Amino acid sequence: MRDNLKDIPYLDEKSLQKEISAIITNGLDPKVAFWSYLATIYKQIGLKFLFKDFIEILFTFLITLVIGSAFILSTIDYIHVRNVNLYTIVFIWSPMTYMVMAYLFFVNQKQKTTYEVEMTCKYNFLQLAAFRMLMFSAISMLMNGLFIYALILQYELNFFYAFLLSSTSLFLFAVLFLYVQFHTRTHVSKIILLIVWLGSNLLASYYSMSFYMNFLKQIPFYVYGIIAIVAIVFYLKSLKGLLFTQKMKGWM
Amino acid sequence: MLVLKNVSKKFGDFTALEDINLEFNNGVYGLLAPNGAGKTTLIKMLVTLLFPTKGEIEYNGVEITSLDEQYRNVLGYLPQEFGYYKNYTPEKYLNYLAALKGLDKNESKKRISELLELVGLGDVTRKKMKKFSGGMIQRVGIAQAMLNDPKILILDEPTAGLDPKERGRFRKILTTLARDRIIILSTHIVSDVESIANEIIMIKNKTILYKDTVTNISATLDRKVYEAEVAYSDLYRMREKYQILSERQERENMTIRFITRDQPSEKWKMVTPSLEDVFLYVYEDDDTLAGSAK
Repeated sequence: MRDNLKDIPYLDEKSLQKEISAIITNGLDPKVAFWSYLATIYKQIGLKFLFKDFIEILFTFLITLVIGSAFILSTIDYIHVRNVNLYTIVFIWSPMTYMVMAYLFFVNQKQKTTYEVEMTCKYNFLQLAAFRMLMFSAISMLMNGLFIYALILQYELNFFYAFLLSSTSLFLFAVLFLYVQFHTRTHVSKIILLIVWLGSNLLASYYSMSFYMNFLKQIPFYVYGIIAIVAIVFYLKSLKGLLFTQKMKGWM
Repeated sequence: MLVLKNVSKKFGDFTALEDINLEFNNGVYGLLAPNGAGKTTLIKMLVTLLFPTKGEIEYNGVEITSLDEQYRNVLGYLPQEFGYYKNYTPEKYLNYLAALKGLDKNESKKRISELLELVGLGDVTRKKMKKFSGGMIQRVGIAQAMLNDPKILILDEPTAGLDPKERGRFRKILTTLARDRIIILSTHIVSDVESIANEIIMIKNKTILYKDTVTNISATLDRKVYEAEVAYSDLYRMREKYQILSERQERENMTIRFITRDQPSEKWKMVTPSLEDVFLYVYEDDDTLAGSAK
């Protein structure tokens, strides 16, 4: 018996590592990639249920559009067009579309009595939120594109530059919004964020035109491109966090 | 097996639950306590809606937070206030929740139809829920909790709004389901759990007071519960002297059920204590009992 045992060759280092890896791979759950997980959510739940409040969103958005347009038009009349740079409007407008959709979703969802049941399902509120936030940002980009196009029909604007500016602003705001959403528990904090965003931009534009103009217009395209890319990366990282890490922390 | 290890929950300075240790195997567990005792807090921690301030909750040896969606996959939950979309039919709502639970579309279709039949809503599957009574909504809630054939079924006050017939039907359903899963049923209505629970858990002063069978818990009052027929004129005296558990009018007299450690009178009849007797005795001084329906 002892002699037989001696005959069993011990694994070499390479085989040993291979065996350890095989055990770990089989023993642990496979890591799911961000995009494939989102694709699974889409496939499993479908747009019909992911955006079951589509009419509500559309209605809110249209109301906001009407109020926002009325506000901008009246502001332009009041402070005269010469003092307001159209790029300011583009920069401010862009996150508004996102905020309306995202904030409405979070507020609505937490106030609904269905929240508790939905939160204890396999794909819960936070995972749906990650998917929807991504869609909202895409829709916001599209809406901003249309908004800029509408402005071009009346004013002299560089579409590509304005779109880049709007996307940069959208993703910067979206990162801030998600940060505030998951690090504070009050609704007021999100309202404050919006007011600060609006107020600081309007005031900077109104009282320090040259600085604001320089800031917005003198920065070259590629810098905005880099800022936009960095903001998108951070935004996706936040959504990934929403999808994989924050979901099990007693989110009530 | 679901285990709570030294679990405490605080909300700011207020301690809702302290040092809770519990173990659940397959079977029905009745979480019995007056309103405000911490039942819902405990349940919300079990379904991951709240996170313990201290301690751990494990399922099959792994912390439920680490299990994440694997845990929610085996979980069925009916909250105290079951929310629904008024313009949805029960079929559509269950389809929606089945999608969130990650169920296969074809399988869930069959399952939804079976469940709606089981809870007696087979003939209203396509009616909008805004027209439903409270009991019907509650039955939709019970059906949704069982959609994924959960290994852990947690029901918070599931019989609220159900009439006696529906309660009977509900108890039968639970008894059938209990064979191969953990069912935790929170209630302040003793009769809901008395006949079906394998074990009763009673919470008092933020901790677990009892976790035992109905027989063993009832036995804690052995030889202390009596019934006596008294005249109206003696009623106030008896009320002042003893802890009355129940009173019922019979002809000219009152029959009272009470607890005493005194030497029994010959006129008194010693009775077998019930779970309700223990419940009333244990929570006698509990302010929250005033709000409970017995």
